[in-house]
Amino acid sequence: SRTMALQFSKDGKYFAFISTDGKLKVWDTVSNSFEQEFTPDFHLTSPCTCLHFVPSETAKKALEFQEASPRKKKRRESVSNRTPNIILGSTSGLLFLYSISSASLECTINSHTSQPISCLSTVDSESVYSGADQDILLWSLQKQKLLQKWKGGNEKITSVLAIPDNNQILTASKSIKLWDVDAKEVLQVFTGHSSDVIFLQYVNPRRSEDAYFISGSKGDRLLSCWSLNSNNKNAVANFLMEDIVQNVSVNVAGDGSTNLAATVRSGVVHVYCHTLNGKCNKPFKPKTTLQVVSDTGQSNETVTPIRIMGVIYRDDETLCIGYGTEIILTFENIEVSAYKKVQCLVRKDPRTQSVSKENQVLKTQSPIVNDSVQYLSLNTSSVGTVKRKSGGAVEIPMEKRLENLTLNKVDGASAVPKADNMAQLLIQGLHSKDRDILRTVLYRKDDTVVRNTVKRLPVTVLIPLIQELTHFIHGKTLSSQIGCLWLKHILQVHASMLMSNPELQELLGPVLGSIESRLTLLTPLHRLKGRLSLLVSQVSGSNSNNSLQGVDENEEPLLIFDDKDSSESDYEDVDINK
Amino acid sequence: MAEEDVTLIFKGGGSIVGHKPIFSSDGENVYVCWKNKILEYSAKTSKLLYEYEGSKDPIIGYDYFLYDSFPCLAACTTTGKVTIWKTVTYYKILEKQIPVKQIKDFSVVAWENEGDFKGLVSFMYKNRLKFTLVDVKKCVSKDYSFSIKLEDQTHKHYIGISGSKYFSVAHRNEVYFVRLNDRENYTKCKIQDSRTFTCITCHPSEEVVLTGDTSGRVVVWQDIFSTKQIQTVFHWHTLPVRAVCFSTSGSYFYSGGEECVLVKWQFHDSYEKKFLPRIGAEIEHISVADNNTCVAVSTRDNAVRILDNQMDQIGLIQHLVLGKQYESGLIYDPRTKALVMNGNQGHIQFYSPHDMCLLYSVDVVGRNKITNERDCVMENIEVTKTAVSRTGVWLATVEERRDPVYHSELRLKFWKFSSEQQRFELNTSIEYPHDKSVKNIQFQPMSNDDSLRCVTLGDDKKFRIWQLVDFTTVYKTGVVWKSFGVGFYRDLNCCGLSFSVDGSLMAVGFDKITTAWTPDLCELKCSLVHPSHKEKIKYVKFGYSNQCHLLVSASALQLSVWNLLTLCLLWTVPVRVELLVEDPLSTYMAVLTSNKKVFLFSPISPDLVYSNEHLLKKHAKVIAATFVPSKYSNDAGLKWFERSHLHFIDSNNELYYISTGSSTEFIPDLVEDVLENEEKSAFGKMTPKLHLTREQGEPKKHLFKKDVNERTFKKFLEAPIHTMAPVRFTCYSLLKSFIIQKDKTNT
Repeated sequence: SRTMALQFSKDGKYFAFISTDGKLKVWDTVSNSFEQEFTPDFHLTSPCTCLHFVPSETAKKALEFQEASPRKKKRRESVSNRTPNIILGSTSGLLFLYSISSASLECTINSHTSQPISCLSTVDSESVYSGADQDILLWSLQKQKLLQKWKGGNEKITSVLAIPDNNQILTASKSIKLWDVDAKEVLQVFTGHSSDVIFLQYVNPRRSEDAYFISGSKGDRLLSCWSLNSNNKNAVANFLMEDIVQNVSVNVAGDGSTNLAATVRSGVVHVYCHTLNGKCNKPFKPKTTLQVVSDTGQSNETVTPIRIMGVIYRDDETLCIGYGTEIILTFENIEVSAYKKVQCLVRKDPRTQSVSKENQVLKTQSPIVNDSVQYLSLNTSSVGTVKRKSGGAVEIPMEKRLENLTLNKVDGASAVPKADNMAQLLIQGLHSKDRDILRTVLYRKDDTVVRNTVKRLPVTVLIPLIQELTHFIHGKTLSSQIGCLWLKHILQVHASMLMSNPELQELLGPVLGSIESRLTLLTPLHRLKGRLSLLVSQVSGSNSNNSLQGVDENEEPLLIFDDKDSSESDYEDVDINK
Repeated sequence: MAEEDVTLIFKGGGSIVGHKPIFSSDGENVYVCWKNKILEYSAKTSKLLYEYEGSKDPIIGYDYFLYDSFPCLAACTTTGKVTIWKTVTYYKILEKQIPVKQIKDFSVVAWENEGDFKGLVSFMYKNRLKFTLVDVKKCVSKDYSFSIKLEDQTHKHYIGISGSKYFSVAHRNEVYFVRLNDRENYTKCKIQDSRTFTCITCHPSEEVVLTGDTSGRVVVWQDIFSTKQIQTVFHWHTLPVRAVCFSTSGSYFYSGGEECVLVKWQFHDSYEKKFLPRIGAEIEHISVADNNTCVAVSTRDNAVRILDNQMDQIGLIQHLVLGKQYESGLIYDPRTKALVMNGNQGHIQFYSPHDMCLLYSVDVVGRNKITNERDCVMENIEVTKTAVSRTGVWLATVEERRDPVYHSELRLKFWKFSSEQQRFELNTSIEYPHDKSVKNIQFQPMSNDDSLRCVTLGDDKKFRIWQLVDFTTVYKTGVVWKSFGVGFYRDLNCCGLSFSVDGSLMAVGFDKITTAWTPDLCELKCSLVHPSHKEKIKYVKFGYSNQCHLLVSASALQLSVWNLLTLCLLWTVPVRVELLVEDPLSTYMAVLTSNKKVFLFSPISPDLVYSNEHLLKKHAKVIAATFVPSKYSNDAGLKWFERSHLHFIDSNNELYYISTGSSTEFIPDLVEDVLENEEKSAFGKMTPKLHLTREQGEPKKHLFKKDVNERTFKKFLEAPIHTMAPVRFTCYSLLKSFIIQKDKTNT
């Protein structure tokens, strides 16, 4: 059974999983990173079959304070959260303690039975219960040895569960037995499953006197919930699933209702919400079913499902799901919406994603920056008014289509292309949205050609043309100039047409915003121009002075006359030049 | 549960790079000093293994050595308490108080005789730094005759020690070499005045010393106990060398500095060197494992990077990234349930306070860090503001390069969290969204991401509304953020921004005027001002749930609450507001004052829900704060501090939250504040801690009053009765003149 081979740590930070090739893989679910892969040297001869998280030695003290909600007990946060350890059971009867923090085996405990350990459970992480063939084994982690061993029945034990706060355990094969550990006697037998039970989980809704447990078997497509306190031997509630159980997370909300999230073999998550109180005859159907698919984009009809491997409640509404394959898993927090029967998440197939190993070490995530980014400046980033979203796709009314048709015909009829206008080509370009045609037309800067073209344009193409010109105006110098030229002519020729358009503001808004932001520089530019011209005139004035004197200097003076005044003026000129 | 139980709970931060990291002898573990603790990390997985906690005082020096042939860890606190732990069992095996005061440094002397435990301690004595060899077991110390005069604190001193043979001290431009068993003699050498030593280390077995200086040279000193030492210069760094470290055998060494480059030098050939460039931040310390398999490099961003012997990074020990600033504040990200804040230069970090771990950093700027040049400080692009939309799908970042001389850069980026790829994807990048820097940014709190809006507040006295619009060109389709409108008010500076809970209204503070606008149309709805409030508004916040019609505005001196339905002032309180934070789960808001008081109130009444004047008194200045919903946030029966936690980061880069529980955090020694002294004075006793006035009779102050109205009223009163028209004719115009006139000129 695979249910014992995967588990979330108690705080939900880690997810551990024994792959089919016997390797232990550990993921950090919060930062969504594949942390460790441990290949035991015995993974081929005696592979590990089951695992269970246990808190590390030093974290135990803090743990008892952390569990209860503040209502129940005065809560104390530990100084720091420590990484848990994992216990592994192998087919050769060995129990291993693996430490995530040091990424190595801490210790190995040999049961000397060579029976395959099929399941593990612990409450206080001190005494560990496990099932091996028909026997129940009790181990002590601290003393690192097998404490007790007793026969649990005639069938192979497939699942075990330690019950908190009292010395009782549940063992299961087809039927589930409640044991008193001290007396080694069976207190109660729960029957109902038709095949071997592979999953057991304890549920405690609020008060300790109402204790329940949930079980799932390898043949039945349902989860059963049993009461531990009443003498009812039948299931209190049953939950229907589409396949057999793989992993279940239970969350007891503040109002006492129990939320169940169950992952099944087929890779979907069923979410149930039920207040455990008395017997219900009718089996429950899932309130919501979560499903992850990848859209490869190759065909419109089919999507490939991605298997969800595990699920855990982060809080009352948030679930953390891990999906992908045995090799690559992705973890994600999702809000469960109670109103949708099926919640389908479209994700990229984790196999096709590349994760840089270096970034994982550096704990940095490089965001995606690709071609779809819009780089804008204030010039190009304004939009006119509120764009109210219309409900569906806008159908072009028949009237408009006819209009297009007739106009084309009219143009076609009078088609004697003249050199002084390019209206026909432009219309073609706008209709076919061909970038090259548009360019050849619009890049004509000849004033008369532009005017003639604009005059001959039908009304219907004005709006797409203005939209195209908006991009030009948003651009750099040349394209902006061209855009302005065209727009100027359009406004002059078709002003009345445009005025009557109710969407005028929306149409011209982006252009206006761009013009406005460009104009902000006008005043400083003028000022700079003024100053520059002042400076230039001064410089040129002094230059002309210089050149006049230069002529004098180049020629050999006829007479050198030592005059104080002239030497002074020379001095001044040099100063100015500096 | 009594309110007195409310204390501060430490949630991360604090430097782990103040001291050199130390490897265990097998190179498996690395020890890092963090405040009053020593943390043991696995070098392989960079995960925390154990915390050694000695006393409340911070640790000044620690070392790993063999004691009674067991590997042990010794630490000395500022008060001289020395503790030894056995690292195999984690047991504390010795605790002694050494008879030295004003301790500056502590290092263990690895004596041949293993039963001995001696430490080299430096201490201040009358402005001089003296050295002494302390036998910790016997508590006897023997002073060295030589001492260094420390006039001012500007120049640090550096100590290197080599086994049990000798030690060397560098201070300013002088270096001293002393034999450990010779208390009288020492040799000394001076370098040029223009250079100052910045680090020192000794060869593990030979008499060779390495020093680094401010000019970037690494000098090898040989023949150190002769009068004429031999110097060999290894010069590659341009900036001061911050750390040098020998390999175990001493055949090569590492150096690093502010260039963020690790250099590996061959000891016998200064030309043969290897580089590891672009380490995330400036190098502070370097340490090599005994078997040379690993190198630990402490960097200024509060990280210890573990490199293998090929100089490839294999591990990173980092909790809260300590950046240079936390300008973008603390922002709660609902998707990852983490806090988003500034991290490394150009990065934002996602730090999970629940399990006190750094999830990841996101490189927002996407540029290599430019390190300083020798005489020139290089400005890098910094992330100055961030905002997360309510769904956590959109992230907006503002980045700015504040060049004091040349043109500065300003960019607004909108990132979308791609659910398919589980990564952020850049959607729109806008150059110069404002003429000057951006002061505030917020998303409209909508649970639906279509036509979402975002508002930026600029230093150019304008705010700008950005809107998510569909865009279709001939070539592709998608969504893009575009500017939808600009708002300004009387050419006043804007500060403070808040959205109402449904996003239909937003409030912006303009100087002393609080204004409300509709983000959908960018229209001014109302402007509110109290004539006696002259201070600039720092924060505006809308109330939640049944108090969503209330608007709290806070200036440096006043906190006032306006009712937007009646447009009148509900109450006002003089309080020096430093930070105003709202709890998204309740109606409460928290005020942190400039004199370190905490108040919690509900906008509906000026009665305090909770107040504490002593909680933050001993703490450094709070820089940013936010409420984070706790795990039990749905349980409405819990107290405010249990449902959501008020997290804040202080100027010591430490993150705390306010709740109940045992306060395990370390509180630094009290630094007397001027403010406290003022309060103890006679004048201070006369002023109450909090002024509360309920001003209900102060409603309906006009923005402007036309005296025309007064005139008509006067005319009515002064005119003789017999000349007046019948009352039913004058009544309407008279009453109309009493009605408040809205200012329509500015809309």
